[in-house]
Amino acid sequence: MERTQQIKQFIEEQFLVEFGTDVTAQDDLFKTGVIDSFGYIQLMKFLEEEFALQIDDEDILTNVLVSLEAIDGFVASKLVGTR
Amino acid sequence: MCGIAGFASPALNEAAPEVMTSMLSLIHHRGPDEAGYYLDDGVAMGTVRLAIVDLATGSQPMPDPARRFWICFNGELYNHIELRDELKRLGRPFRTNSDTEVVLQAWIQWGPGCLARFNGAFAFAIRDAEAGELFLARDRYGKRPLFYVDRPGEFLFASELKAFRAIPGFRYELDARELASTFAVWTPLPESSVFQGVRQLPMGSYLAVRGDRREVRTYEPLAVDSVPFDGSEADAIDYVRESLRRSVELRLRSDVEVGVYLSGGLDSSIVSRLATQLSPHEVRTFSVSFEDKEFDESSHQKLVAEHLGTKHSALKIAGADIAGNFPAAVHHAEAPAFRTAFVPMFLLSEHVRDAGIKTILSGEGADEAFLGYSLFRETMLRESWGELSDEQRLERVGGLNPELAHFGAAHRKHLVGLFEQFATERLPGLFSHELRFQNGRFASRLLKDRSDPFADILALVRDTPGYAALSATQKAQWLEYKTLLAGYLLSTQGERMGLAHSVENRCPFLDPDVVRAARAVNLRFDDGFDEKLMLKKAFRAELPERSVTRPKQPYRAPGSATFKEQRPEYLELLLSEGELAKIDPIDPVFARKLVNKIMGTPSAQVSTKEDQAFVFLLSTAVLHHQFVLGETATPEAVLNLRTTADHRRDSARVGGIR
Repeated sequence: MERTQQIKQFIEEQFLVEFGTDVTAQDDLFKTGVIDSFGYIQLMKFLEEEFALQIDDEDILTNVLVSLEAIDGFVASKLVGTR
Repeated sequence: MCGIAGFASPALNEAAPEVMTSMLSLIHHRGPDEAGYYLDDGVAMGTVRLAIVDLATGSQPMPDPARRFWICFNGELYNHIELRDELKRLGRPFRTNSDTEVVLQAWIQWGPGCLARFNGAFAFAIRDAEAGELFLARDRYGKRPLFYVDRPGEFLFASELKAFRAIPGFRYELDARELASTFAVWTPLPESSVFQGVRQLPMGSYLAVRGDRREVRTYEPLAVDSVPFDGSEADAIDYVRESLRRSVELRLRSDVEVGVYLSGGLDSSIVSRLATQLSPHEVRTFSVSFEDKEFDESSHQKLVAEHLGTKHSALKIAGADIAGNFPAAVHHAEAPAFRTAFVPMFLLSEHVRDAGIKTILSGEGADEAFLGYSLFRETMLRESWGELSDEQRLERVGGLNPELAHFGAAHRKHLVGLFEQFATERLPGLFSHELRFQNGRFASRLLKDRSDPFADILALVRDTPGYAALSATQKAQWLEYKTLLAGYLLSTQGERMGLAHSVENRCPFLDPDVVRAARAVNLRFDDGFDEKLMLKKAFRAELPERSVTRPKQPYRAPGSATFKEQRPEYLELLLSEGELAKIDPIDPVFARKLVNKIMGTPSAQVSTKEDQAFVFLLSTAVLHHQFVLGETATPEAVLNLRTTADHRRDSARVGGIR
């Protein structure tokens, strides 16, 4: 499964939403109530484990992971950086 | 403490005694000691009484000597002795020692102006037989409930909306819009209920009914602004101590023994401490403890009880107790709940009543007055977000909600991103609560109606004079008083669960002088880091050090996991597609998704918002089952009818007090 699809599927299953119906890839997932503090931790853990990433303080403090698009872009950039 | 009910309805005139008796039977638990009603042409009102002050002569409905004014009073007037003296000096006649008569005479003397003089927790109805008017009033913090239905040719009122079942032809229907608003902000808004056409008299208001005319007036708007305390810190500490001491002293006024709820936290420990100093007898304290260690605070309760020398009794709660008593507690709450913490309170009041106590002091209101919730720290943090360094942000985020595992050190860096999102205001006037309300957005998805669930609360804050000029923290405080405190903590958790078993609760932190003192010292001394700073300083020397310094532990109880483990029979209301489809406002597709996820996911992986949404859904299903479908049989209570006064002109009965 491609990366974007993987992330999308995780969010859909974990947070009971459907992209295209409930939210778009550009929607702020916090502001739409899809992700809360507990969910955000789950999402970060998923990204770290699924893509073997190390998300450090700097990443968090300089990247705003609010939409599917932004999360996907962040993961893509991290993967490039780690390879 | 009591329950009141009545109506203005010419159509019900003939059947008035039967309807009144039935209404009172439905709220019998609020006042099992005696009952009474007053009937006039097209108007009726009655009381079920829990006798606490003036056990001998305080029967209701109570008339003035001229029999023009009649009162049905629910609650307590704590400053009744001082007001009685003042009214006597003004020449008002008294025949009883009850606070009810003080309220009546104060009304006759000062009209609605008396309300601002009252220090109490009350809702009452006064009939002016000469003017043909009915007045309803409610205390300034909304401690006592007062529901009403206003429809053509008929006005109904009652302490609990279940009393309306006695009205011929009355039907309960869930109100989709109110339900959405309730899910979004965790409680019905001040004037609402989740049932169509059933409203509440807001806190600090009165309502006049005369024929088809209605007039609702606010006699005391909720104030959260203040002038900073002008004095030294030592003076401020004395001010806090003295206002609380006086408040507890007033609330110990009773002709029956007064106990104390001791949760183990700072607030109830302070109330217990003052009670041991001021009570004429040994103080009995009561608490819940949990089998589940995650929620249990019994070691803290024991520590305080031993330190203060109270006679302590703890009721141990297991998951089965919560699951088993959930429907009964919802029946009394009459509103959807987002967590189960009210069920142990329901059981605790039964325990207290079994111990022979019918009046209790509690620490409710302290967090609102002295900025005790993490929500207030969070608001201050988000407000100053732009001025903080990354290190400061990390440090301060980590200090919030230490009781929640995902807020721990290992995850705090992740939470910075979350807070970043809420550092600017998006819902006008609701900055402080946006982070909390996002969970409500999720719960709102359970409903078919996807219109803006925040529309009503946005309108409330927009239309409140002076609100826009408040600071973010003051807005947070105002919202807490108006929504969660009145709509959930005081009503669902405190008042209604207590009176389900005929136990009245009294809240020293809701004394107007205490609230005023708190506002003044907060403005001057609060540092944005240490919650309830001045309260801690004021009582540090008198409580165990650990009770004062430990991090705040909100009172919580096990949620969806309990229902999953216990599988009570009524869970079928959610597991059966047919049952879910019966609840008109609920979207069965999303509801099913949520239920399936909760039932099929290890509890540790269920998020807070999912847990809350599940409890909302289950309590709504139970409410629907009980009220809309009428599936819960309420046994007719045997009333001890001591006072009946029938003034109907076309009645064959002889008027007067029996």
